[in-house]
Amino acid sequence: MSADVAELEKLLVEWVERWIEGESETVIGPRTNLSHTGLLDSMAVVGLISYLEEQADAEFDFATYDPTHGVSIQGLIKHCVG
Amino acid sequence: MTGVYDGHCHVASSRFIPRAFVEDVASNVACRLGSMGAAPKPGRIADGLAAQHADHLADGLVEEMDAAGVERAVLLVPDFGLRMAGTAEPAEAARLHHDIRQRHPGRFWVYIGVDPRRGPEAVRDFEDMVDAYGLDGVKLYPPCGYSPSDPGLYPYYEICAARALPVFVHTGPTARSLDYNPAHPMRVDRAARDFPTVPFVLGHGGLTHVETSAYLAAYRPNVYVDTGGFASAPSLASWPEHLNRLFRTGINHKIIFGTDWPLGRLNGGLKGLIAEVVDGPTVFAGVSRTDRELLLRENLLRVLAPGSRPPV
Repeated sequence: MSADVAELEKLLVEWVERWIEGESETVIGPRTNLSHTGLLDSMAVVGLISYLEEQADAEFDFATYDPTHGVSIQGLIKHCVG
Repeated sequence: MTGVYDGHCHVASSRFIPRAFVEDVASNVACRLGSMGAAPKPGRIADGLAAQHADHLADGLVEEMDAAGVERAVLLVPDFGLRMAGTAEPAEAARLHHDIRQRHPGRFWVYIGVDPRRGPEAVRDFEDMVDAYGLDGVKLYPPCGYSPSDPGLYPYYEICAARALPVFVHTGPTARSLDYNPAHPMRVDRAARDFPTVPFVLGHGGLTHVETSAYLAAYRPNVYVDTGGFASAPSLASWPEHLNRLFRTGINHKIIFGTDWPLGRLNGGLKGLIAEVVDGPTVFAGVSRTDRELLLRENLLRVLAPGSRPPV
């Protein structure tokens, strides 16, 4: 894992923690399934992806993204920056 | 119980959902994210949402249905044409949905959109489409600027009465540039009373104007309530708890389960959603097995014409 990816993971974990404001007991990590655990709704996922685009300076390809097996920080970063 | 029936889906395609509608949705997303200090540009959100509307043949939807255990779904085809440009006209939309049904046999019912302002010729076209494609119902989108009790819709309702077709009516708020007043569920009441044999389904009635929708469903034998959009309604703090309350109000014989896919697709898709509904600890807590069957399958079958029901 490159340092950039690790830094992105850290930033996105912090974003999710801010979003849920301590209302969930789930420990957030890069592999946490953010959708199936009910932590983020679809609007929040859009916000998280936009934040990722901003931090990574890369465009997220929504057309090819498959969220059906869950949404994780690691998966979003991989889809966005490879 | 065998597979779930989803009474409220759309083909996630720019052929049927206008860009202006997507931009309206994006502006609300940006507004909410902005309040959390996390607002991206609305244009970027709209681009992201629009990019998810390329499932023109519903292959992606069928894949999700298979993964989620959804046996069949209703495809609703709103007629936005007189308010928002860029989508297929009703006749073309009906043909394209017919193609989708041919591609995925046995998976979809189709309710086609009509608009009373299109005049008598459109009524004849509608009847022709029903004959040609075996359409299963009518979809109304009153926020486009008309009441569901508009006399211009009565010729359609006469056709529905003659053929036992249901009418699905959007109720409640929607895109910011459309009209909310015609979308109040009470606007359906006159038509429902004048056409007592036509089933009227109050789209989103289980989420917005719930009290009004519930009493219409309780007291008008031909009025039903839909749950579409439950997982994405911005006003619901916990949708499993909301659905559980709804399912304990005594009208389970009148509620039709629907998701409003692709709404909320980014949140894990149908599989996660259906799993939470069917197997989660909250939604059906205290709800009888018989009522679950009504909610997830039988109520939809009861509003469909006999010819639309799958063979037993």
